Amino acid sequence: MTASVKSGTWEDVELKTTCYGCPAGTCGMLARRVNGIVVAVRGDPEDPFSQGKLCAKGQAQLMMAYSKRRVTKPLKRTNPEKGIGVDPGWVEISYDEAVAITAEKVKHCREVDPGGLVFATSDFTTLPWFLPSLLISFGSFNHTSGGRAFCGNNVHPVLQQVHGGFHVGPDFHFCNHLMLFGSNKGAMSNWAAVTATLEMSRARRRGMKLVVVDPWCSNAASIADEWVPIRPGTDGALVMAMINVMVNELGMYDVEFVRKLSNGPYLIRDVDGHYARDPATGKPQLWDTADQKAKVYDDPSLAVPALEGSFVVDGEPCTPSFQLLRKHLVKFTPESAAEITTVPAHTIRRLAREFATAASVGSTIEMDGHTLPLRPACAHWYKGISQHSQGFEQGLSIAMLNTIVGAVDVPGGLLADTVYAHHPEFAENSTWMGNGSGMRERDGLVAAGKIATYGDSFPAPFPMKDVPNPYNMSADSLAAVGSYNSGLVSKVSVLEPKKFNDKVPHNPMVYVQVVSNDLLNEGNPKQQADFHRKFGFQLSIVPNIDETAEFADIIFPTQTQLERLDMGANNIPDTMGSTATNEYCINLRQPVVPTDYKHNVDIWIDIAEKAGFLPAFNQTVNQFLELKGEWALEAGKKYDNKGLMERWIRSMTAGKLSLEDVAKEGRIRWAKTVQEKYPRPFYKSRIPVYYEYFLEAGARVKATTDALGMDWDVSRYKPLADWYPAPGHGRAENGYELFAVSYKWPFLTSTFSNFNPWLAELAQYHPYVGKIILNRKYAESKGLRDGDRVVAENLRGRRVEGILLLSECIHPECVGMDHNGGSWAKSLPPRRKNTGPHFGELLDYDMKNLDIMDGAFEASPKLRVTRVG
Amino acid sequence: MARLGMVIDLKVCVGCHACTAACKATNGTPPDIYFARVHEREVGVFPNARREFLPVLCNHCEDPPCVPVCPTGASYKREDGIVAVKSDLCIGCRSCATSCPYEHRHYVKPGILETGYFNGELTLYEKAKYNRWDSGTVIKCDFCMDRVDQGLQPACVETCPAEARIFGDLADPESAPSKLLSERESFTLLPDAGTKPSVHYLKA
Repeated sequence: MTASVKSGTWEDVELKTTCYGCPAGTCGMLARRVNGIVVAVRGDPEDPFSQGKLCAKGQAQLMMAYSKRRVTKPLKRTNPEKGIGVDPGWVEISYDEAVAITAEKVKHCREVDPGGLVFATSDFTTLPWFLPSLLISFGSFNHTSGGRAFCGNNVHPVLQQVHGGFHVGPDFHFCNHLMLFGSNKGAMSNWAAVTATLEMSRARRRGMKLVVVDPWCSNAASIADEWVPIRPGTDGALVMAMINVMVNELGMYDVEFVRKLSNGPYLIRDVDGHYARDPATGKPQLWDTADQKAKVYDDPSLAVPALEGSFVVDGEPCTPSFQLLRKHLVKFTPESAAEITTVPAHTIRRLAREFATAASVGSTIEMDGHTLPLRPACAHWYKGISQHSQGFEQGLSIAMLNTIVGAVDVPGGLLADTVYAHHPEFAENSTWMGNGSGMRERDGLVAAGKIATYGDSFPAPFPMKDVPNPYNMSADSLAAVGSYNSGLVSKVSVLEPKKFNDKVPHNPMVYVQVVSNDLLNEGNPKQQADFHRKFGFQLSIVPNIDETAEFADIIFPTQTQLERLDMGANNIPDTMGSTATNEYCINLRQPVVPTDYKHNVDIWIDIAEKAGFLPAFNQTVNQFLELKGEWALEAGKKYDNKGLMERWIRSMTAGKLSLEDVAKEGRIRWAKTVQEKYPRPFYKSRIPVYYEYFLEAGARVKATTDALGMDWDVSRYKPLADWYPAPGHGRAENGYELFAVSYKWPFLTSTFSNFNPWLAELAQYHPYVGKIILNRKYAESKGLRDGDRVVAENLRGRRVEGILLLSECIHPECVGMDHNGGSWAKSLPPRRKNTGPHFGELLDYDMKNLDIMDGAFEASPKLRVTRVG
Repeated sequence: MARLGMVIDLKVCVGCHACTAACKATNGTPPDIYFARVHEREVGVFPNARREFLPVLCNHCEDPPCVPVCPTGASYKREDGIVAVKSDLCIGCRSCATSCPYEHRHYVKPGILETGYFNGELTLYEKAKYNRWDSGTVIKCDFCMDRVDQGLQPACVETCPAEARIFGDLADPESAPSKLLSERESFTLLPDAGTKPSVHYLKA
């Protein structure tokens, strides 16, 4: 047996590629190929992201490439009826026929109303350039990804305003005290999960304290020094109370940072809450206590700006914004926050003191000849905060916790991604190699760096942009201080356009799905089915026929990880992982098994050619890949994905490197300078603690929506972060007294891991996966028992059924479910079919569930749980 | 003489199952057979509760009860302490499985190597990997001895993103696992079984 196999070995090699077991796809991987078959994978020890490690999802990629359940041929629907569980009546067709049918549909759409096309993609490696190239060459701005509404809606816009970057991570190298709010960072979730887990493990071994605030005892909470269970949607109130304690009770905060690097000393006019601007230059002014004069923020003579007091400037009474903040904080007493959060007041005071103490304000560290502030305490937040209709301000609050101790982009603090990056040799050629765009500022405040994901074509929270009439189905323009809007708005705008007085575009013609499965990982699937039925044509480019692809008219099979060629997995500057490392790195994903399947980019190029808009596509690729000179695409020629990647590498390295060169190394990597890793002390731009421009943003949104006759709430456009109750807060109605909370598992990501039989098997053996989880004491008080079959239903009667599991690890006011179950696709491994409830069933596409500031989707509806029968 | 063993640091294990999947991928174990698993249980009472993760694998015991009960000599212990099975000698009587208090011996049910993960259609990967196993025999974790003999770490150790697993010679007081055992409080599983496991756990 073993001997006979070995005697026939004609190949045994290890090949460099990059993992794609999660959408981030950051980890450098080595694939061992024996006799043409990949038999093992491991992390590439030379890769700064994986450092030789891989998670379960990465290891299980072997099963995706060789899966027997892949879609292998282009398919055409013969049953015109579309619905959940309806047999599409697939028939196999040739690739050319599939291209011809699709090209005719998209050509018609582009001629009639290009805004009728939606591009839904979770292919995050190509997303930064392919998404805008596809959409803009087509003439549409409708972009989404499955689960978009639960992504970083309440994370990114805050980071863009505080750090200038889009993603952040704690500085695990120096942090001594990390607080996570609704985040599993370092416990194999979030982006670059392997890197963060490795770094957090090392940090905890050297003594970093971990405190996790979460209604559910997540994996991170389970290993933490302290788990702080909290009522869902109230983290912001807890944090504001902590800040109040630190500022107003203990006086433990970084006064110098607030004075020099926040807008705390900016003078605010008592009359209207706006900056007191210098009439000549229009610049915001501060009060210099050194010579008792108002000065513009960048006046070189500025010595000691006032943080408190009352001043009169140009006849107008003014107050420094930090004093307004201090006064605003007073209402957040630990006692009142305890009522809101269920966290005891003495715990809140202790958390505040511990955080402030660990921040060790005043301490410094020497690094490469620079003396930098050392602030080894910081807070990170993610999905748990981003799943609420009032999460935006909670994100602002948590960011402010870092700001007031100066733990922003300094050693030990929260570090933004690489908008400050630049390659020492190649940065001038391309912003993909970094160009220091995070140094941009307006009114002296840090401005969002270039976010490659959306080019510069989509709204950034700051500097303020105009608020035009909605130009896409998700009404992105109305998220004036958000980064993008959500799946919730686009579904409501198509299903119930009258809700927006018909003023949000809603002409559903062509839906393009590239591995983005909103039917399973967003909200109520019945409402989504109605949405998908409205499209005249759906094109799905997928390796497996998932729940959303079951609504397709044409399906194209596409490549899995081991077959793909992608330059720029983990792209600069919009990287998802590099905050924790000391290097920048752009990985190459190389095919390691032969394949007849096509890359989704190549499929679209064939369609664009047939439909006659390839020249337009080539032009936008030039724009977004920044292809210049001899490497620019010619409008009239056809290129393939590999050719594009070759030109991209050559263009950004001014011809010095080829695809072959990068393939040998597997990546382009270079060391970070101290300034790049810890940029804050090196730049003068300030961080807002008072969001003065929200007043203007709200006024612009109001003017636009009023003119369109749209009902749109602008009451939350206030300069100081506040806490608002979510729809579920307040008195329980008719026994609907439990908040729904959801979570994901470290070995399941998005929904494509459902198609992996190994991961399905792990899920099958896991005690919590697919269960409905209640606090033991609460459940027993209601006569519910472990193993009972129960129904969880919301106030509208939306319901899921499942098996009850009683737990000590969940807040007594909560019912927990993973947001990955209930899958029904025909091509799923049997182990993963219909496993547990579909959490999205309970989430209604209703405007009251929208975070009107940034498009987040309320995912904590009130529920009632009862035994079946 | 070497005594290969493993130390698992429960302070940093995040319960992610990377070890489980790496073992599966590297060894190509048939469906429902896992050499490396992660158990989970709850400890404490709300709000002072948490989920506790316990990665398990063959303990490569100093006194392995599975070896002497084997009637054919298929089960054996190497000089370096690794407990393994010579597949060609195994008759599938499963005495070893019965004797193992940790349930780390797995019987390859007839048919499963043909069924695989896709109900009867083996993938190219499965065809390449299942060659290693014989239907109707008992298989187990062998600390990836093929890899160890080449100077590599067991797959579960290599992949662990938390670096929670430390592999080495427990007989050498200077080895990484020995040092950790001297510095930190540790335990083994089912000490009363008297098997003297070579897998140790550092307390969280």
